[in-house]
Amino acid sequence: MLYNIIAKFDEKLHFPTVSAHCDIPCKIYDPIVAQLAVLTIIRMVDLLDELKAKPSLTLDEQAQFLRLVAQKEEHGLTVKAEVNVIWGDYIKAPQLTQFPELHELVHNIMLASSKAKQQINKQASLDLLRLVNRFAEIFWATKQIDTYRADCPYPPTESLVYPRLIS
Amino acid sequence: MFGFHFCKVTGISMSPRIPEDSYIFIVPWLKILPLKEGSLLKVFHPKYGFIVKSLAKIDRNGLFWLKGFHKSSLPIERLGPVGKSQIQGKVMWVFPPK
Repeated sequence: MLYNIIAKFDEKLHFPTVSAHCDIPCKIYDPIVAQLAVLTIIRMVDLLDELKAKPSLTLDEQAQFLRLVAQKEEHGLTVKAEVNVIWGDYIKAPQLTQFPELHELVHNIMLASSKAKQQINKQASLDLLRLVNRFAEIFWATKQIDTYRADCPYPPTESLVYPRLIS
Repeated sequence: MFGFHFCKVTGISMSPRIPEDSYIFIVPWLKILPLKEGSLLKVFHPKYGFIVKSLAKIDRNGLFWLKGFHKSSLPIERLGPVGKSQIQGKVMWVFPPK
């Protein structure tokens, strides 16, 4: 009864809400976030290489250098976090049986992410993309969804694994 | 204005103690009294906004660590500690939906 009385007051007064925030397993997983983060790392490396080619940097260019490095670092962490969530929350025994390489692949992605973060090294970031693309291939295969490869239609125009979704 | 207010709870992290859609009766000034572990608090969290949680521990720095009751609740370490100024009040009564 008390609840109903308070609910009536709520209709008139619109009480504020408080969230009992939770980490519900929502089953929404997609490796595209990790893939886009790797593309960002590659793009940052390309832009950093452009700065590297200059004999000296203006103050604005030095600021730009710091921003590019910071973004590269941040997206390296994003790759790790996104892959970790899929690996830890989605991948279970059936997927591991189907793809026994998964543990080693995820570990290699962690190592490659660190390397791509530590260095301004195009090859290191491309190696990371290769691993994350393989991870995406496996992810979609576990959902019986075919994939294809295409160059992303924006810089750095690298080959990305996309799901062939049918509506 | 009256030294207390009601809030409606969204989310399930505090169930079964506070089921979703419950109303809670909050007394803001009670936060000046010593808070005990297990107290239900309304908190302004810098990341999650206004939340209701249970006080898990007060650490030696005087920071308040919070937890939920449901298995899907954000873990203590993800919520992180909050200062007393972020505590918006103490939950005195819970009115669960039928």
